[in-house]
Amino acid sequence: MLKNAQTRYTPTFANIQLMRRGLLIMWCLVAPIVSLAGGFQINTQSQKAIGMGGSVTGLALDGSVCFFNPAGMSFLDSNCINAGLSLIIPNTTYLGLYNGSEKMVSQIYSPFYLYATYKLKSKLSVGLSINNPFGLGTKWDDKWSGRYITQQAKISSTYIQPTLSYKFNNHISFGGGPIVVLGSAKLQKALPIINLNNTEAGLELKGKSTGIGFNAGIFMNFGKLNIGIDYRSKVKLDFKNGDATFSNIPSSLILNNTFPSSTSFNSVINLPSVFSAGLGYKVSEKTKVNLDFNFTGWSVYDSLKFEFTDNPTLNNSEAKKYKSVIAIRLGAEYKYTRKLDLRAGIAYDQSPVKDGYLSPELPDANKFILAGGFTYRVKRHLYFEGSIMFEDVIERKETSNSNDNFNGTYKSYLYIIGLGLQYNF
Amino acid sequence: MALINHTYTLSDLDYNITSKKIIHWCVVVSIFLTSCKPSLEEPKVSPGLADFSRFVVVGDDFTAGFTNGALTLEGQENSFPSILASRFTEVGGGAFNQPYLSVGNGLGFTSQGNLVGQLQLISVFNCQGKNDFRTKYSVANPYDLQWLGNLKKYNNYGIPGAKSFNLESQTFGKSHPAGNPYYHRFASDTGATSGLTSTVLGDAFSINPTFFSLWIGINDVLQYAISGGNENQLPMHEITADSSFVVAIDRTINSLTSNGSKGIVLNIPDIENLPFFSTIPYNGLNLTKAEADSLNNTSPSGVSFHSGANAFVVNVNGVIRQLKEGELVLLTTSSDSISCFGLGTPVNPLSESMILNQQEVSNIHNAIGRFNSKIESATASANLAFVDVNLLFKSLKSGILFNGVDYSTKFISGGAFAIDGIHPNAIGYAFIANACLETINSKYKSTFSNLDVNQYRGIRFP
Repeated sequence: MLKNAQTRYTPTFANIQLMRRGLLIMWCLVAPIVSLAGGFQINTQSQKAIGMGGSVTGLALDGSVCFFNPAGMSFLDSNCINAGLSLIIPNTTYLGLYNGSEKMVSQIYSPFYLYATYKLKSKLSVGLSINNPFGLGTKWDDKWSGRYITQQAKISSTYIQPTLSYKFNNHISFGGGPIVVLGSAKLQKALPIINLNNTEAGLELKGKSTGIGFNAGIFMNFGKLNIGIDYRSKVKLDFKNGDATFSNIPSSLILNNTFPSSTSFNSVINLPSVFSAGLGYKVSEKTKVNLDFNFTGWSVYDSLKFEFTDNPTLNNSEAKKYKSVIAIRLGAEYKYTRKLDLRAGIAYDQSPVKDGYLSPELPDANKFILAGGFTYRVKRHLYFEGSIMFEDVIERKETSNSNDNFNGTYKSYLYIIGLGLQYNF
Repeated sequence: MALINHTYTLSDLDYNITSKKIIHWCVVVSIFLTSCKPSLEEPKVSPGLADFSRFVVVGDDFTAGFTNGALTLEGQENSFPSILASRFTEVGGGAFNQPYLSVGNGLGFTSQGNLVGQLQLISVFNCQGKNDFRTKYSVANPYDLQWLGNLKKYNNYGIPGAKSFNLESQTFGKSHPAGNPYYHRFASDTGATSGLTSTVLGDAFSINPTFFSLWIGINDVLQYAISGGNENQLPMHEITADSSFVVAIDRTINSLTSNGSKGIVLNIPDIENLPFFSTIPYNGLNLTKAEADSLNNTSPSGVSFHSGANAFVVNVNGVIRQLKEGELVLLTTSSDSISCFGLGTPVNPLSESMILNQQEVSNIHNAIGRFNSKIESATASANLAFVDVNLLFKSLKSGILFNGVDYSTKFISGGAFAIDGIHPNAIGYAFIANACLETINSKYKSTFSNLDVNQYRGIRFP
C-alpha cells in the first residue's frame, strides 16, 4: 500500500521539478519578457501580489519581499523559495482616421520570478531576487497603417538583486541590495522607400545592455499594523554598439550613401525609480488587508535617441516626455481553510504617457485593475499558487501626436494568468 | 492513503486539481483571452446631400493620373478621381471606368513631340564620379495610341495636355498631331465621317453624371512656363487669353451642371510649388574662393562672385547678367554641366530657355491668380464645392507630416511628386483626393474618411 502510494506520488513531484527546471532555463536565457502596464512597468512579481492587485508593500508574505520591500525579509516566519511564471495577454485595438480599426497581433508574454530568503541569524536575513519588472511588447501587422512608426517593439529587463535585511528589534527592520539589470531591446519598423519590385525597406534595431541600481526599504511592525516603505532606484540602460539592420534598401541609395546596409547604434533607456509605501493590517486571524501607494519616476524617460556612429545623418531623437505617476492598490488575503488562502485586489494605475505623445509602440492609458488569486498547501512545505488579473486600459484618443502625427483611438484589455510554487524551509 | 493519487484532493472544496488539468485550463483560458479583443465603434459613412452613383470627371493630365512624364495604367489606377471613387463606393458610388492603357510604360511625348514611355529613375555616376540619380524615358507601346471604339462608358475625361478651351473643341478627338492622342483613344467620334469629332464635354455628359469634378487650367499656363516663357514664340505655348479662359470655364460649368449635378471644382497650383521650378535655386552656383577670384578677373562689370552660393549667369540676347532672387531655373537644366562644365558662369552662361525671368514669372503668377479667381467665383455662383489645391501644394511645400512620414514638394526626396517634377505620384494624388473629400464633407454634409496616403506608392528606386 505504501509502496504503491509512493510510486504513484513520484510522477507529480517530477512534474513540479520539471516546472522549476523550466523556470531556471528561462532565467538562464534571459528570455525577452514583456508587457504593458503603467508605462512599461510589469506587475507580475509574485502570485500573491498579482492576486492582491499589486498591493503587498505593507505585508511580508513570501520570498517576493526581496523585491517589494527587502526589509520585510526579517519578518518572514520561515525561509522561502518562490518561483513563478505569468502569462500576459494584451489585446489592443486601434481606430485610426483612415483605414477603420486595426488590431494588435496577438502575443503572449511570460515574465518570471525567482526569490529565495534565508535567515542567517535571528536578526540578519539574506535573499536573492530575480525578476522582470520592466518591459514592453507590441507587435502590429507588417503592413498596418503605423508601420513607419512601429511594427514590433520589445524591451525587456531582468533585475538580479542580492539582498540583506537587518532587524533592529521586533518593530523595525531595514533591508536592501544592489541590482544588476540585464536589458535587451528590439525595435522594428518599415521605411517609406520602395525598390523596383515595390518592396518596402525596413529597419531593425537590436541591442543588449547592463545597468545597475539598488533597492532599499524599511519595514515596521506594530502588532496588527505593518508599515512598509521601499525605494527602488532608477536604472540607466546604456545600449552600446547595438545592431542596426536595414532591409530591402534600393541599391542606388546604398551606393549614394543615403543608407548603409547595416551599422551600429547607441541608445539609452532609463528605467524609472519606484517609491512604494504600504499599510498592512491584520483585520482578524483569517484576514489581512493592504493599501499601497506607488510613485514611479517616469519623468526619466524624456526621449528615446538613436545615434548611428558611422552614419550621423540617420540620428534620430523622439520625444517621450513621460511624467511621473502614482498607482493606488488595495488588496486582501483571506484564509479560507487551513490549506487554502484566497486573495482579491483592485488598483488604479496612472499612465505616464502625456497627450500628444501616445504612440502605438506603447498605447498606454490610465487603467483599472481587478485581480484574484489563491495559495494551496500541497504538502507541509510546498505551496501551489495561482492568480488572475484583468486590466481595463481606458479608451484613449490621440488627436495631435507631436512625433509622427499618428492619431486615433486606442483601447486595450490586458489579461494575466500566473502560476507559482513556494517552498518553505 | 487512497486519496494520494495522481490527484491532490482539496477535500475542503471537494474539487480535484492536477498539474495536467491546470495546464489544460491555462491553455484554454489563454486562447479564450487572446481572442477577447476590445472593439471600437467605427464612424458611419453617409453621402450627405450629394448623389455619387454616376461620378464623371473632366480635366487634364492631373485628372487622368499622368505621372512620371506619361500616362500609364498604374497612373490611371491611382488617378485622384479613381482614388475618390473608391470612397464613393461606400455610399452607392457605381463603377468608375477609365480608358485603361495596356500594362507597361504608357504614353508620353517629349517636348519635341516624340512618342516615349514613362520616365524611369536611374542611378549613374555623375561627372564628379559620384553615384547620382538621372531620369530616362522608356519605350512606349504604340499600340496604345489606337482608337478604342465608340464606347461612351467612361467616367474619366481627364485628357493630358488639355487646356480650358479644348474641352469643347471638335478637332480634339483627331489623331496625333492634329488632335489630342489621349482623347483620340476613346473619343466617341474621331471625325472619320463628318471631319468633326466628339467633344470631351459632350462625351462626359453622355453618362448623365450625378456628381462631377472639374480641374482645368494648369496647361493654360504650364506650357509657357516649361518652355522657359515661350522662347520659341509658339502660339500653342502662349498663356491662354483671359477672355477665352473665362468663356471656357463658364460654358464647361454650365454644361456639367445642366442636369442639376453637384460637383467639385479644383484650382490651379502656383508653379513655384512644383519641383520642376523649385529644385535648382537661382543662386545654385557654389564656388570656392579661388574659383570666384578667377571668374571675377574675366567678368564684365555688374557680374561678381564670392565664395559660397552665387547667382547663376544667363545670356540675354548676347548680354550676360546674373539671376535675381525670384527668377526660376528649370529642372531640365543639366546638373552635370553646372557642376563640371561651368554652366551658369560667364564662361558658359545659361540660355533664356532654361530660366524664367522676373517678367515671365510674374506673367505666370498673375495669370494663375486671375484664372483662379475666375474658377473660384464660377464655382461659387454655380453653388459647387471649391477645392483649393493651390493651398494644399503650398502646405506640402512647407512639409506635411503624415503618419510618421514627412512629405514635401522636394524633388525625389519629398515623396509626393513624380520624377517629372510636375505631376504628383500616387501619394500626391491621394493627398489631392483627401483635399476633395474634406471639401465634399463640408459642402455636402457627407462623412467620408480621408485616405491613408501611405497606402499608395511613391517613387521606385533602382
